[in-house]
Amino acid sequence: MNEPRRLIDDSPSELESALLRAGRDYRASATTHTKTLAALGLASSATLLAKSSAAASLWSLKGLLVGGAVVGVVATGVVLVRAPAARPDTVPAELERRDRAAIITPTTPKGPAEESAAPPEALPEDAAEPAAPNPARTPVTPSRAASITAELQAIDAARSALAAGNGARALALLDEHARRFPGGRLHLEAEVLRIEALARSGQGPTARTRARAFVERHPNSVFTPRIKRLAGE
Amino acid sequence: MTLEGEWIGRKLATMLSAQVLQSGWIWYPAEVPRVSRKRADARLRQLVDRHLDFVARVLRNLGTPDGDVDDAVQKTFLVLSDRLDGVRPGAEKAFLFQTAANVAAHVRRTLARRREVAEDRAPERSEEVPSPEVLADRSRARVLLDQVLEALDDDARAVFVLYELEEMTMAEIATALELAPGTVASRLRRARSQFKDGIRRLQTRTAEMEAS
Repeated sequence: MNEPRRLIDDSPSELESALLRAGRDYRASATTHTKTLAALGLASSATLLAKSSAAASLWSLKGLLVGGAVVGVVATGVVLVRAPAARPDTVPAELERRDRAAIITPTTPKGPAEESAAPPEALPEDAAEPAAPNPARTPVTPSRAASITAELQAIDAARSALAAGNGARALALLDEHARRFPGGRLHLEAEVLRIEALARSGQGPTARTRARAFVERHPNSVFTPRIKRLAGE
Repeated sequence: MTLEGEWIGRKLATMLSAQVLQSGWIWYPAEVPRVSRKRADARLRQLVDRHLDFVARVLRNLGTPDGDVDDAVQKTFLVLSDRLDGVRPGAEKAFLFQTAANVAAHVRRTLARRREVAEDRAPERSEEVPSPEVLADRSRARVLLDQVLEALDDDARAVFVLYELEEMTMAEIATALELAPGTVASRLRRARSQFKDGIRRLQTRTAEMEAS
């Protein structure tokens, strides 16, 4: 097949060349890479935290607390809170146990309905869920970062219990998570985990109700396609 | 239990099966054969590392706004994860392109609906064209490129993006899009014509602004 020369090699127009270069130069950010691995369950928490730590300063410059805040803030938390005792690859034991991804896929608010949507009834605290933080005005304080790190650990402990086949234990840990982190940033992850834990604990009707509610409340979440498929929609 | 409840129950049970859970979702490692899962994970990880920029760029150049690229990339790779077993080694890039094209089309449709809803309240789109000096700013060039690409029809745009921006060969494009070579060539000619028309329109607008 004859290959014509690319436009960018032949273009007499500065404007045309500039536009073509703009199209060619686009690259995925480190954040996109981290989020994608998390969504796929491919990165251990250790990997995520290490990568995020490396990117933390850049992220702060970009103000990327919105949407992808969880990973970044957790990373910052590791740096700020654990720095004296930990290398970047040193993470809590619960986090290293996992060989599937941390449940920390951040979900970007899609609009007013998504932002104000609360998860099902067992998480009433979410009615008071704060609005997405303004990166220009929300500093990454040590206490805030530490809180998110602790929340991630709580979720991870529940996931580990579930993976071990102990749905009741997972539910107890999720209840504890709800008490400790009202309006927590990982409430969606907690809810999806709770649906599974309920189903495995012989509470099928409740699990089904919550599954339907999840799909209705979060039609644009990264988790939703999966939940929809599971619900047969 | 209602029929609906039973049906949802069956679906939920399916969702919890190891076979389904193997497809890349996140919290059921104990029920999936460890060796096969690790092998699939390794392949998937490699594909992410190798094709992440390609997928992001394709999504962007097919009309996904910058702020939506993250989610769109995740959705694209989630589809790959779900269907990984059926994707022949070596055909992953073509699969990713087709999936990304579908995801981008969905994003564009969603945006179009939002625009329709907000049309009455939205400010008029600026017709301002930056000067050549400002074009040095790549983000401005990006905005203008979006405008020009938006004028291409979908079929032509796909070929244009793969040939002019991804530098794939026409043979590779024919394989990826499952098209006859002659079709790829004709779409490329059409795309180039539309692209150059768009460039001319931009230049005309610039000249008019400078004259006024």
